[in-house]
Amino acid sequence: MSGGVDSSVSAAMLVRAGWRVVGATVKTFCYGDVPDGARVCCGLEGIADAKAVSARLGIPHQVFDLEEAFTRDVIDDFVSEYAAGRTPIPCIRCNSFTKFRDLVRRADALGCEFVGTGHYARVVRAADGTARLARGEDERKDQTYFLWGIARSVLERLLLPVGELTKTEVRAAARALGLVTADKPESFEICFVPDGDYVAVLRRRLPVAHPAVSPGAFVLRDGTELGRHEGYAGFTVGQRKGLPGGFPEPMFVLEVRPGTREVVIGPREALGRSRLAAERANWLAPIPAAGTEVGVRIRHQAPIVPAHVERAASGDFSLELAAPQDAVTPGQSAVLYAEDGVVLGGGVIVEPG
Amino acid sequence: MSATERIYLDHAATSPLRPEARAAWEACVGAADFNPASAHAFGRAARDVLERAREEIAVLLGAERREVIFTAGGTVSDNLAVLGFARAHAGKSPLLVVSAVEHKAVLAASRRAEAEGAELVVLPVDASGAVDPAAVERALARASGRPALVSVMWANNEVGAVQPVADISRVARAAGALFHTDAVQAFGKLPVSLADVPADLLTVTGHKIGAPVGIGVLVARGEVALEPLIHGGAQERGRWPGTQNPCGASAFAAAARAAVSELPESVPRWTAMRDALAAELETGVEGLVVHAEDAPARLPQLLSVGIPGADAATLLVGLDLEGIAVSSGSACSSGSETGSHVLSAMGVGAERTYAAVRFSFGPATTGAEVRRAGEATVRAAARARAVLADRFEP
Repeated sequence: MSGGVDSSVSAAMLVRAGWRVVGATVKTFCYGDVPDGARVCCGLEGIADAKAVSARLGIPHQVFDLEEAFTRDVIDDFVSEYAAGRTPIPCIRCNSFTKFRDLVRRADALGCEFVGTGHYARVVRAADGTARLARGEDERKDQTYFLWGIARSVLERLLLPVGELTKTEVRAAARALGLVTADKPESFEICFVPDGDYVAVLRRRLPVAHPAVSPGAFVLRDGTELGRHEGYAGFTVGQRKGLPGGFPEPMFVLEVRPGTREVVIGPREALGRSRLAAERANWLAPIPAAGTEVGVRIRHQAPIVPAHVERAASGDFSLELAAPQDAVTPGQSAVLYAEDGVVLGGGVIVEPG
Repeated sequence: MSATERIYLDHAATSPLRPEARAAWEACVGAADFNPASAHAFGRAARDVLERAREEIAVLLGAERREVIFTAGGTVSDNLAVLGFARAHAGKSPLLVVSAVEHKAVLAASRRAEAEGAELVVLPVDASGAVDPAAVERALARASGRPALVSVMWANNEVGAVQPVADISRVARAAGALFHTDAVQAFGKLPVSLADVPADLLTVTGHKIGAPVGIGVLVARGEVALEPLIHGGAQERGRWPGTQNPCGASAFAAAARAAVSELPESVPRWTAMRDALAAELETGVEGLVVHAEDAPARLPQLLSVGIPGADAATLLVGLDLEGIAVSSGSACSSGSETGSHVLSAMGVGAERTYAAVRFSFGPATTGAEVRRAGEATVRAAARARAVLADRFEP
């Protein structure tokens, strides 16, 4: 329970359905190192709201301090990925490791057989009875892109009540239940980057003068130098902002080269890629055979586009895209879907080999 | 689980209304719930109830009636003592000497006073949680004629260590300093009297002994100079102005009278239950630590234990699911806190995975309830350890 409306309504729906529910909020990150409890933590207000909702529902609630593991699994990875010139998605790591592994372990210890969350996704059953993750009812809110990394054993015991609803219905349900969180605005920021300035976070956590935050060159594909930047960590494939001007057409980041600190830029038509390779794969359905037609999503809320599986193994896969896609970005996730919206699996995009 | 099956062992957070306090409250409501400052008959009835309560609490604490200041609770009383003293001597760089294990109401008020120009000395404690009176003496040597206040609690709210307040009060007096003691946790659990410990300022509050929340007392002896924290009237000698709470005061006095009169019976009963619980937990949970075990004295109705290698949240919610209501150290902690300042001052539980649990009994707590809580804790501790045993897996 983040203290937001979605997890509040999920908890309420589970209580109403007769489950014995334990509310849990994860403490992931606090700012500063002031002793005596003066540190401000991510989502403090969320904790208070989650407690208020739990009290209203008459269920126990507890804050689980997973800060140490979150730092290791999510923040450290966030920093090292940017340092390596990639663009990570910390929310996916947080789901894969912090929430759906470490928090579930607490649920196990408490004898909780099922795990409920407020994600917009659905759990459906395959012909053989095993659980599959499927897109939520509300197309615009679908959060399956962030959930590809969870273990299949967790998927088997996952309850996603709001996945059957639209956001509008969720808010209406919250109001009907008199939950304090009914009209809370949504949060889109990364919790440990509250002001959106992720480069400042990297500068604090990387060694002084690390290449990722040290000046380098903007270059064209042919090697022509066009100017200087303050550190390649500030750039991601497909980005337009902050590039040198003076071209007849808009320029985009095509590639980040950590070895030489170069940020390669070029026109939009140079951005398209028709192949995609991914590593650190996780499968939520049988691994698709080579040649299988799948849908792939390469960014949150990007359209699902058709592709052919080139090869797929337990730890990695590569795809041939039916049409070239802009901004196939190393560090982002590629999530594969079957025709019926079932998630097959996903992986982290790498430079094609 | 129904409320009747639940076992409440968190009286140090709030002890529910006891029958004597309820009777006093109900006798007041409808008869004397008027403004004691009003000149008419209704106001006089309210004033009579308020002043009887003041007299009763004064007698119980060994104070003079006029020394009892009713406030809204312990945090107000602590702030009024510490900040009120410092502000009364603003410009003279007053010296504040407090222990590292004080309640946040004293610690945070002291830090505020420091920001306003006072000098603050925070005294360490030993591994048992006790303050060394010699350290108080050394700290007071810095005063060299400046106004000085020592604030050391009578008994600690998290671990139950009873401080050598009689010795500290003598040391303070000999050095010409004032002595404040936060007796919120000790009052009604141990004999607390200014006859034994000649403090200049003493804090107690109602809801820890079965009176309603919202009524507390600061005893301020003689002509101790205190700058009021708020302004607006002459009530409580101007030190805590605002309309007084006669029914709350009456309920507080009734709860205090009952708790103090029961002490000869309750102290040995609580002590036996506390020690039996400690023995049961030490047998059932390997490596369990009893906090403040070596303190010169401990609160009889409070047991604080630490379980290394256990996940605190899992332990607490596990107990909650079994219907056992306990606390993780201090109930004032929120998500913003990183851990117990009391345990860190004692050098206990430095490892990040250390679950501290506080059991605190009330007047009606039974041995059977305590045994059930002990059994549940042994089970929950095993689960809260298992959750961390394999935490670096995939």
